[in-house]
Amino acid sequence: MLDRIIGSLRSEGIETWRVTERVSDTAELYFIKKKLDIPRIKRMDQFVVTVFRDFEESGKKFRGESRALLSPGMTDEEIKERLRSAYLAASFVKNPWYELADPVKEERKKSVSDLASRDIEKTADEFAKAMFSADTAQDAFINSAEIFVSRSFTHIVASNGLDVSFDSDEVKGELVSQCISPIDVEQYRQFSYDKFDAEAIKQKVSEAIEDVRARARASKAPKAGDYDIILSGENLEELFELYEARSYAGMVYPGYSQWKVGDQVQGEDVKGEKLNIYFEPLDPYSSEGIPMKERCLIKDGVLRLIYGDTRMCRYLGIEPTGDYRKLRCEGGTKSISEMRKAGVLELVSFSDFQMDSFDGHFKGEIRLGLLYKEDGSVEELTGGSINGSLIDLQSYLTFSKEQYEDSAYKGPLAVLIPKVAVAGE
Amino acid sequence: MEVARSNYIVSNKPVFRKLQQALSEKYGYASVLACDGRQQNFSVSGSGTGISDGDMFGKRGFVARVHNGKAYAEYAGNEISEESIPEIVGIIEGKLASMADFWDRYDTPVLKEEKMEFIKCTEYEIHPEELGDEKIIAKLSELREKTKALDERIIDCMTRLSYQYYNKLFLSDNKDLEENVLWTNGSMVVLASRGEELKDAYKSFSVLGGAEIMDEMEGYGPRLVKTCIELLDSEPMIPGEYECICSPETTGMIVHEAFGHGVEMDMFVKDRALAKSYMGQQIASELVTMRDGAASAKEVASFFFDDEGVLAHDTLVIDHGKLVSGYADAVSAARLGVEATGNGRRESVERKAYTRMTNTFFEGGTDKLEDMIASVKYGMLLQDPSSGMEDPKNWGIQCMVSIAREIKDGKLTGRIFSPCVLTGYVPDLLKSISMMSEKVELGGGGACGKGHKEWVKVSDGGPWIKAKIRLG
Repeated sequence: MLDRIIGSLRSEGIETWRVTERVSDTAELYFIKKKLDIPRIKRMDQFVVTVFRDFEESGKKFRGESRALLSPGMTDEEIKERLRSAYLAASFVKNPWYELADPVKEERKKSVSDLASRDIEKTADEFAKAMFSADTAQDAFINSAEIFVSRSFTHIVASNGLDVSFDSDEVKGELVSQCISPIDVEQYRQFSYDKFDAEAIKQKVSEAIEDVRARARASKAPKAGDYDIILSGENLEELFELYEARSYAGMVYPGYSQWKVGDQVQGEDVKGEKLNIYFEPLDPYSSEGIPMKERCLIKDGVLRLIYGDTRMCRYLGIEPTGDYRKLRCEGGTKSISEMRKAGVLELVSFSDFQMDSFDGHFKGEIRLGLLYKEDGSVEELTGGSINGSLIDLQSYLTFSKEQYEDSAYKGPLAVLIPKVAVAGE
Repeated sequence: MEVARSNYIVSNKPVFRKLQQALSEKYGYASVLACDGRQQNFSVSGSGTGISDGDMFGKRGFVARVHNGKAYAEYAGNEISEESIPEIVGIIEGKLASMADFWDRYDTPVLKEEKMEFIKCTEYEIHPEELGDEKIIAKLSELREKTKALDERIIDCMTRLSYQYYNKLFLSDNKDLEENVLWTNGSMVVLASRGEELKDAYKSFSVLGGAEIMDEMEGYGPRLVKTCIELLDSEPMIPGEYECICSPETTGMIVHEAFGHGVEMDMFVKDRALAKSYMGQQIASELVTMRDGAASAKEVASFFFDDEGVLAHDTLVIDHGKLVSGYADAVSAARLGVEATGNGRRESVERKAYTRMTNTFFEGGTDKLEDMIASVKYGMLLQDPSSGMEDPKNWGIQCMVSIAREIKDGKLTGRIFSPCVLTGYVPDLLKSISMMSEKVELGGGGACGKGHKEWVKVSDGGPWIKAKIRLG
């Protein structure tokens, strides 16, 4: 199919192009309690073709581009028709000319995951067994779960000589834990691993069951007011979206973000901890075939990088880096137990915690909150919401010494943020 | 004009039928859903111009479903020929079957199907492909420039158009169904900055049809610019419970997120929906009547049959405040012993079918908007919802809105709070609805997820409503 596409590009007179082929095999298991609802297998092979078209108007150079999706069952005529259509479309895309990323030609990078040597159907089965081995209680249990084990091969070739390819393996999914007494409630958890980590999923299940028990005991919302709050786990990944978005070339070039390298992004007078944030590569190459490597985004609160795709980076006159999906945060000066002082509200879970990188607000409805009291007791709360501005509060952040990692985040398990507005009783 | 059939579907139909028959010989039930289509996205903004095929909904491929006498299993792919049928059957009999070896299965009755055969198509006025990329980009560019020029504080206006036509073929022993559908979305986003904060005003447009939607976008710029500039003077929300007047879009988000997900009956099967124990009970004000269905309205979630081959329905969910029905995919309906309602939907052939909403809305009332605002002593008028998250198990509400306009002594004061989080308990909110305007407006600009994935096109809406809501 790839040869047919490249042949069609040439016969259509399209000189500049990039083709990405992605073949993926996935084994899926869906459970209702401990019973298997449905097993699924899928094999998909998809081609994304980007065609570029250079032209001039009134002495100005443009490089238009358009993307077409192609499938293996397409006839030669269908392929040519889609390519012609995309090439014509590119002539209406009057974006300033820019130079494509330097071509790289390297051998196929094999997956280093232990998942690579396993049969995906068996991995799904063994992962499910590991998951349910931690589901042993009567009062709280897994209500339902979905497991997806995928193996994919990505091959990127372009007219300028780019030719890179890599394999990847992943186990991901979600589980809903349920506790039926004193109130029948549930908690939602996602998971994603690039290795077969039975202990990690068991830990995830245990935490989900403990959290849902706590939510079942919680009967009221917090009193409305300002609280020092603790956010933890996957919510930190969402919180840091502000830093990922505002340093993204696609936000900087059109002027949505004013950030530039050297800016003190937390302000000049940082009362809490200074941010140290790095990007870690998940795949060896970006979607444009740019080699991915660890990069420092923010060091001691100072922005060190504007990152993004080739077009936006070229317009800004900086090195194209590709887009990153995993962030690592360094630091952490306090243990979580030190953070849990009287009056602090620890927000364990939300309906849907959100960071709006445009207005800088983080917000969400509280599904489980723990309020630490003067007498050392802990009040379990549910309901109400938080709404705070990270732009206003980012100079007051304190991170935990304890660490947390998933497929998109590695760093402190928790952050303490002072004076956040809480809506409640 | 009617949406055209797919050459791929038409020419490969004998192959899909052979696969279905080969599986039917081995299993008590076998079906094949084949899909084709194209989604194309156009955008113009400060970042530049974009034209690209979308990969969220427009995938070509097929999914084969079999029942082994106890439960279902599925194989999905996007490469098929007559020669590959034995290999596909072999995978289903071998690897797929072995995945279930260890586990107890959730018993599921075989789907019962009446004999049925048809080819149906939706209609459009202007097909985006016939209008052409050049004219679409020119129109979006003109809209952007005109809108941006309205106020120098506007740093950008993004204009977008997306369309999808899809062609589906459903084959089982008793069914031979084909549908061809086209929907189109437009959107405009206006941005202004207040220091490091970016404020945005957003409007989406949708139609079960084509590029005729661009006429609606024309002339909307001044309203968006006015709202965006107003947001520059917005204040943080003061947490509390307020009498609120909700715009039709906000009503739609409450209908969809706060309540609609809770009557998706696959959640009943899993014991994940509180609504299961409230059937036949008064759970909302008597003013509230709610419907869902691909046949309930002509919007982006209208079709003729769902991804399990069940015909589109118009389901009455709440009748004058009383919960009378949920909606169900075919498998959940079989497990619960109720009628399937044409709500079995997949993000694409790559995904499992779940119970999903379609066009979901409250019916209209008898009140006038001006009377509704005049009746509020102190409260908020809520506009521009941005997102929400369901909580079917506990009927909690999480909806985000961008604008809360202060109402004092029956009049809008001009004071604006932004952003706001709506929370509370669903029946409390629904029972507090005390006024509803006449006109029902539906919008289908966005997509709906199940939890955090499985995106499908939906529309939702209703009239203006008055209710008591906790805001934060």
